Amino acid sequence: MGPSVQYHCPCLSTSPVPPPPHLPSSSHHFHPLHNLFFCEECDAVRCNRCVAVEVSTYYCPNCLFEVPSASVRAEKNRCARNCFSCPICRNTLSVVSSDPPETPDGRSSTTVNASGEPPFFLYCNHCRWDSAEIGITFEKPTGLAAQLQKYEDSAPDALEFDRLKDHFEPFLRASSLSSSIAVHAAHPGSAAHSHHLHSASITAAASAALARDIPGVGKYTPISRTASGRAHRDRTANKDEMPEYKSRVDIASVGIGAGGGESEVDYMRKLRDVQTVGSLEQRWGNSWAGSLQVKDLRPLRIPLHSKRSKRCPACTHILIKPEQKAQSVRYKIKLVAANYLPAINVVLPHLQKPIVTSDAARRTLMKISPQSIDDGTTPPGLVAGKTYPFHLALTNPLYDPIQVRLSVQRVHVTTSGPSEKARRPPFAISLPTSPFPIAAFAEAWEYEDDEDMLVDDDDYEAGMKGRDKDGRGKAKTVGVLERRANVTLVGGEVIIGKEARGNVKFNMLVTYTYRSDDPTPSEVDGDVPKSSKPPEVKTFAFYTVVDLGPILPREEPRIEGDV
Amino acid sequence: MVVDFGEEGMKDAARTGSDYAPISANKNPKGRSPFLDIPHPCHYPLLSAIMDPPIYYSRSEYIETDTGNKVSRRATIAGPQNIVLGGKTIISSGAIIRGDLRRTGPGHTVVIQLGRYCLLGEGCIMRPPYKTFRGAFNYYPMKIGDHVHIGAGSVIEAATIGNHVEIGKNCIIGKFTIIKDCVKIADNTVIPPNTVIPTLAYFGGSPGHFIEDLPESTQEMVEAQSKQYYTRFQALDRQ
Repeated sequence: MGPSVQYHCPCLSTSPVPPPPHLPSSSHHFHPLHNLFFCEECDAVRCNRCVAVEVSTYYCPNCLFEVPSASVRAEKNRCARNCFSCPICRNTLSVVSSDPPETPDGRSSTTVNASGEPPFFLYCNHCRWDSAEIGITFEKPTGLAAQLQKYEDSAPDALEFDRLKDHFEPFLRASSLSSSIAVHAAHPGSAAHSHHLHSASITAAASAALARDIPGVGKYTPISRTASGRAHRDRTANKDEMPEYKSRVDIASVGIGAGGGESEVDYMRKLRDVQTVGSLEQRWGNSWAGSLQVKDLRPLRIPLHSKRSKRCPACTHILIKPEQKAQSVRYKIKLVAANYLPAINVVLPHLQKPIVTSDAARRTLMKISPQSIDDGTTPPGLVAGKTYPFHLALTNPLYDPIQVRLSVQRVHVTTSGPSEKARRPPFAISLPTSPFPIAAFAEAWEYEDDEDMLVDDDDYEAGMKGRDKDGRGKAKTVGVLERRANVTLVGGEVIIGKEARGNVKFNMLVTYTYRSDDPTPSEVDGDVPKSSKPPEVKTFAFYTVVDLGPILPREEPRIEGDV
Repeated sequence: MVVDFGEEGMKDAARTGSDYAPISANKNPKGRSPFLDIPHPCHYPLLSAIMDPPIYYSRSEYIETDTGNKVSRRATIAGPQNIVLGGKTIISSGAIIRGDLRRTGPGHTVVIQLGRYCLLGEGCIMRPPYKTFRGAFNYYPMKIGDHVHIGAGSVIEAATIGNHVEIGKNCIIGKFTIIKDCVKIADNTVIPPNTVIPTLAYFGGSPGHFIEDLPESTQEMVEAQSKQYYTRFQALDRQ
């Protein structure tokens, strides 16, 4: 992995400042730019961890059938057509027919019907498992799930689950009716879970249980509950009116290997071949602690996938809304951060070597420029005690030019303990301090003509100086090196201490100002631009973490390099 | 949009004689080496090239067609008349494309169809899928969309590969696999025959299985990357 830049998502945190990069929690706060969303209403970055998610379509990942949400629950979130996964290797199983009957002349008959001869069975193309091994065969090659339905429904785990469901259903319905509205009003964030009625009723039940009266403990009365008469009904529904549930299946009596017990121990004692014991991964997908043995594993219907729309957690505006069709990759609404924030790429110029595809090309390049060939002597990283330039290329996605200012976040010594104070960040970063412009983004066709034109002379010279380390005199490394189209190349420098260890990783605050297209809506929303600026100019700031890669110790510079 | 690679181009690809006249640079000005103009090796004309180093090939090794396809002379192209390249597609050295494994029967058939901005890595093998159906053995055509990058050493026998697909190195894509749009397949993955891979899925392992969803902006990212790769892929002339 080369050097990288990741972007901070505050995730509704009150403090917009990310933790210092040496803390483990730092990695939790930063994401690649392309995984982030941008809420125009809140003017804020959102990530997959903080958005509210709703399912818009369910589909089977194998047959790509779009399952109506009404039948998803009845089909237990799995494909109810012909899609099964191999119990051994999780591969998708295919339906195969038996061999056609031999004709007298010894050739297999070519006049078989299109679908083949019954019985049909499921066959794994990868591990060659087939369902005939465990006695599952089919009369016809379609509607396999329906043909297996009776086995599935009569399985002890399915029966038990149905009984449990029947048992709790009245109670859940009562409590979800009464409290789900209150719960959701109180915690809009929990809307993320509400797409699933099942989990919603569980949360409702749990919160109702938490809110009930316990003798001797002060009554917890959230405002939303006391405001209505619901709280009262909640309590009555909860008052241990539920009859006790008794399982109708005794685990020990089900037979060998059904979820532990003496028989299982006995089996394991006599075990000769470890292959006959199913691995945890193979048994994991079952809803019931079943047999340990591989021969008892059954093919499972393939779990459905979903397309999801995403909402801003604060204002519930839609950030992502996919097209209804399951296999479309288009979106009706797609507010991704890459369309709002400048993209930043970081490189270490001393590690940038052209790639050659053949020896002939390498020889030619050697003649023209021997020093640009990677001869293996450059240590693959940053060596302690040295100074390196690095380049940041900022790309403006907006149709207006922007002014960008970069600043390195100081690591607050106060936040770390006294022992931490001793090991200060072992490197120093210099970046241009003054703001610099990035030109507006234009559509690709506007660049088409000048794509392979040379840089004009000023930029060319600046670029030459910046990258020319072994060249004439003192090279300019910090500052704007080059500007081209909507990209500006900025140079920085890192000075690494002699005893430095770990990664060169620092937080960088990026502030940019842009001309707002329509100042009117933002005023309506009360989204006041920075008062010191003219009203049509807005400022946005975000944090990034820049990782330049590991620092290599000076003694053995080539050992731990993995770049 | 899809432009036939043309018989001439493919015949050139199959030809290995040293009397080959290089395709003139003005047919595709982007193939021109920056070194002709700029003496300093660390200066590249494109910013994208500054951030990502160029990939140099020797001009004599590759054939460039009118539509910008770059085909290595060291690639084995069998049955070129049955292969269609969309344009700006790179076929690296050592790749094998079996356009000769065509459906039985008369007439002209397209066996392998590749879209625009595709990359076939070094040592890749593309072979149309086959099966015996109703007692008759037959090959079936393979169709590959735009912006499909296939890593070095992979073997592809898929029936369909959509647009914006990235396949890693040393993968095996089994017969009649259907890969939808915006899919990524990790290095060293084995996709068994007849697998269907839905959109925006990241697959890996042996046998390949779903790992995670790809971000919503995958399409734009892959498109930018494949275009940039084509720009970085530059000829290097002897001076």
